Amino acid sequence: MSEPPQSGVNLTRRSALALGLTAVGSVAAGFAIRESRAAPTAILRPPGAIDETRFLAACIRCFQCGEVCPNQAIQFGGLQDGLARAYTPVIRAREQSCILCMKCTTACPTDALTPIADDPDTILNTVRMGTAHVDQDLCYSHNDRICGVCYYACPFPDQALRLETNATPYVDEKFCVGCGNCERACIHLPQAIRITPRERAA
Amino acid sequence: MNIFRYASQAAALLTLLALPLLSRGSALYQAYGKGATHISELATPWDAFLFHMFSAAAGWFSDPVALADKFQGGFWSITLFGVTFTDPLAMVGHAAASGSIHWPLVIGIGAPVILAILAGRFFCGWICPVNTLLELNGRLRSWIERRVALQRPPKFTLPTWARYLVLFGSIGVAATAGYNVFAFVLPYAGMARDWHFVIYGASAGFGLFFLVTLIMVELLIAPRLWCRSLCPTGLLLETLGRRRVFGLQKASQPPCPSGCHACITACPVGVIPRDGHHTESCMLCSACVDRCPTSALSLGAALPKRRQAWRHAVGAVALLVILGTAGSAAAHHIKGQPHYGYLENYPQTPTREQRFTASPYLITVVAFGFDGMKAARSETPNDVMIYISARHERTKKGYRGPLEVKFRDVVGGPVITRRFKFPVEETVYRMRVTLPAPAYDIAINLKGAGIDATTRLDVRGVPISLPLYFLAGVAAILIGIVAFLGIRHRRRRARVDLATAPSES
Repeated sequence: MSEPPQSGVNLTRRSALALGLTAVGSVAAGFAIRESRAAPTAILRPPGAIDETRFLAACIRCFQCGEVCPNQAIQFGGLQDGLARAYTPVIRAREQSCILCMKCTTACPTDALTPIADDPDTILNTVRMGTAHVDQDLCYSHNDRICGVCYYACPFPDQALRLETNATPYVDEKFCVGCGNCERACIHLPQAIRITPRERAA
Repeated sequence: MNIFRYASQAAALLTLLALPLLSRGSALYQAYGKGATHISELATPWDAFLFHMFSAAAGWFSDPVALADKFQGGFWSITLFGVTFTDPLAMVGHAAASGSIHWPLVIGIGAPVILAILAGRFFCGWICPVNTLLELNGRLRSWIERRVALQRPPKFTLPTWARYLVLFGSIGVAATAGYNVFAFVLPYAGMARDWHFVIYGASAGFGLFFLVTLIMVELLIAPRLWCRSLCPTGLLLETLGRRRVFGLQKASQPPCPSGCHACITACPVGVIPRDGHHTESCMLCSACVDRCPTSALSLGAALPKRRQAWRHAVGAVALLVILGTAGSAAAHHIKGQPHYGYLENYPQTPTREQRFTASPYLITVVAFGFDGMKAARSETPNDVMIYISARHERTKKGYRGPLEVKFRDVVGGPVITRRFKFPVEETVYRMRVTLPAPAYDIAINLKGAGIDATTRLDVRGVPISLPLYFLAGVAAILIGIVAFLGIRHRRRRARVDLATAPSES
């Protein structure tokens, strides 16, 4: 009744062959699906997101950032965005913008979103999701119809966004964190102020 | 023991189902405030329901939001009471994809790893929601075998070393592709994701499709295929738990009756408890414990060898240290930011927007479907506001010349044409049109610049909803039963053939 207890893998020739083929096949498959992340992207990631390539490697698609977000601003793409970007967090500022609570950065288990203290000065200095750009041909204020809504939505007024005569908005790229509240608030259609997501190396 | 296990499985499944509900409820609670009186007017009925549910469940805590912030995720990576536990494979995949080791993640996987060292595949048998489903599926299969099908359905098996292929194959793909493919491979990760999508009202993911396929395959072809022969998590936990303390124990007395295979046939993962070894892949599911005629089997603790006890003591201390320290890495919530993002859509939020280049112009088409004001209550639910603007990419000037727009239903139908001599406001050409079909090809002719451009616009996107998920599951089970009935029917016909054949010859 005492067969010796087996330890380790019982590696037969067939299983060894299968393992070898899997190793080769997986490397080939990996290189094949690697292509889908090569294109440069303009995706607005949550605050604290590291560079796109490192981000895709680090993100484990656990959805915790989206679940902790009090504003439901963090959405998740699906397979239609390509396999590499599937289920990664996205902010669609026009639908719901970031209120800079920094909860997602602390919720992230892999630091794909690096933790940032929830403190205005820290946020102003470290968060760079993107930069707002005003389309002066569309903007109400730039066409003599005074508006200024974006200014009142900006969490860093007079730093990131300032108003001049007739409430014309101007963005200071040095301070704009790219939260998208201006884009969200803009009452013009198509919106006259838009976030250009931070340049992300692919 | 089984009652504890069922309780644990039910609790795990409920946790998985409850966490996105809790998170979304908390978000709605923060948006609408305590005792919101207008929620039924502002939010959809589903959101209002979630809000009320959250208020009822957590509203009587002093800070429901801070409480809800301590719970997120699924069993792929979960935060419970502010402590984040992550699947060991998440770290393996992360290390393979990024080529670096992230130390906070090592802390996150600490508790699951120590649990595996102490109890092997405890996670599989007691926690994993996919195993719970597949176990129920296995019961359905055996019920059908006993009651419905006269002929045994096929019992295809893969060798258990197939798990090594899945594990190392995924590591290889993660390393070369540069992202963590375990998130796609593991069905419990996909299950949590798709449930999140259901609760948050987004479109469906791949996880449900994978899970339903798995259920069908196990029901019809290969019982317990995933847990036994494919799951890389099971393999990893089993490897870590080679010298586990807690697990299946076999008493040496009384000896097994000769020829008794009750435990072997009961085991879903192909362990042979009778021999007292080969028990690495045991999921601690105790199926064999109930079947053993001599009650020789039990789940319990036993040190494998005395001189190794100190290792487990070290492990237990490390577990306590990790549980105590991981929480401090989370959460420091300093308020003070103005909250200008509004939860419910402004009326002007576009339902759909298309931006495309017709060199040298960048053309933006916005469709506003009055969603923000509830299309269902509107007298003209098919009316859509269309805003078109074209911007010269080099000079950064908007186009202000004459413009012609044609809307063509993608499946045919009349063409709606609108012409403008100049923009309605600023550089925007605005029109209200009735578009009952779900998608249109929009042909834009910038007559002043001689540019023709066409784009396709989905006027109404239809997200996959909860009933569809439910129907998918029901359909899968129905297909399974029908397939078994088919087997029964063929078997009967074969009998009839058998009965008639001798008389003919």
